[in-house]
Amino acid sequence: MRPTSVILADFDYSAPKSLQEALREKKERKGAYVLAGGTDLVPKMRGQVVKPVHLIDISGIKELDYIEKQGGQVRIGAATKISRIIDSKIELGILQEACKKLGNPLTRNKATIGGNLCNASPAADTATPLMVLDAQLVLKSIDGERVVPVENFFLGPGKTVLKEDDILTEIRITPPENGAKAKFVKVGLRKADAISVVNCAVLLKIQKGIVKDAKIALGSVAPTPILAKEAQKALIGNKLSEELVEKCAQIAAKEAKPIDDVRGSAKYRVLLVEGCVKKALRELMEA
Amino acid sequence: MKKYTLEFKVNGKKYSVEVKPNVTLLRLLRSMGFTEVKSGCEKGDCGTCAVLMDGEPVNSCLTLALQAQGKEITTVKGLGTMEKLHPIQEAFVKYGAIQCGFCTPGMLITAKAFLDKNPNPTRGEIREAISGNLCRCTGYQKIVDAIEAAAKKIREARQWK
Repeated sequence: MRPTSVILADFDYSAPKSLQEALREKKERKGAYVLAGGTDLVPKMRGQVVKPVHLIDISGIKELDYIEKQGGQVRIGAATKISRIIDSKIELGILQEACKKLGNPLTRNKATIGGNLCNASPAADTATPLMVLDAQLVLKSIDGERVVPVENFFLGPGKTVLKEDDILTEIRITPPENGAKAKFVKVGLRKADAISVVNCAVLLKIQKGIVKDAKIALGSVAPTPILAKEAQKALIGNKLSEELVEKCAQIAAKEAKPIDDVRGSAKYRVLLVEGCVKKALRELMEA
Repeated sequence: MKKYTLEFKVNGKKYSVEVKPNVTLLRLLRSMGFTEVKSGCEKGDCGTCAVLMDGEPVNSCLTLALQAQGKEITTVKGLGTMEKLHPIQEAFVKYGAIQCGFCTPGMLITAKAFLDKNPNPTRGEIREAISGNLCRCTGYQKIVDAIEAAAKKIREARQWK
């Protein structure tokens, strides 16, 4: 066997077979990172953006890989692959639409929903759909557990409320009732294998032509994915019309606080927010 | 750094190797002599490193070698031989889908897994399926032609079974 060339710095590795074991290790091994699909972590390690001394591989833990209905909710294990969510027979609507646009077909066979959230890029494609679905995230440590609404999970680029000993274990969604419809729009620099320059998720509950509830989540235009609360308010109690759609999109664009980066300028992103929200609302209006 | 024993299969044959945690599956396979698995971007964007892991196409550059524990890896050489090419390999040759050949192993792996799941795809679905495999030479047209033709050939062969 020829010598392998080392791409990554030294670290130790374990692959616990159960969640309990993983939680114990997370507490005992200070500075250990959790590895699932590795589609974000391995490139980061290669680029020396992060330098974990230990990786706890949870990709083989069956108890973290599931999609099931339970008491009116859909519960998804954090280590469930994006490809599995796409192929699921359980209706996950806007989440499935977003998953189809995440990465590329090969990375979708390794990337996980938990990894997408814990990597905490403001561009995370599963984050905005989960925000409009009012998803709850279960964070566990060996000492206990807590449930956090997804909109409170992100603190900044790459930063979440996860504590040192925590592992994200489950994502809980209450599927919206009949009459609710949702749309995900992503703009990338390519049609596939692209990080969102802007993404938006819109969910509307309409009764007798009046918007009863509206959720608009925007990605890549702030340090975290955000809800456009003023734009939401502008819709509630009103009838959808082209004028309202334009007004709402303009308000959403003002709530966006993007920066210039390699994928686009702040100015461009503000225009994109307006365009994406308009597109989503128009399509929902016609549906 | 500590080494661990990795036991896995490659193209149907069992292997047991001592490997450090910081080695990717791509680098391990190449060091074992499976140089048909190519290194391109080593960050999951180009797809040339694609292998099948338990039948599913993945970027071997993003997979730690130890994550292949107990798994079955198939490289492009596991799809067919010179004497007996896989129908997709045959189609790639026939339809001029190979120029420099560097994207080809990854394309074939992706195409094989794709046609297993979707035996009668549209051209649009084929394009979508190979959207994680970059080619700088061909402009993709002939690759799509080849996959479409191979799909047809495989379907017809199934009818006779």
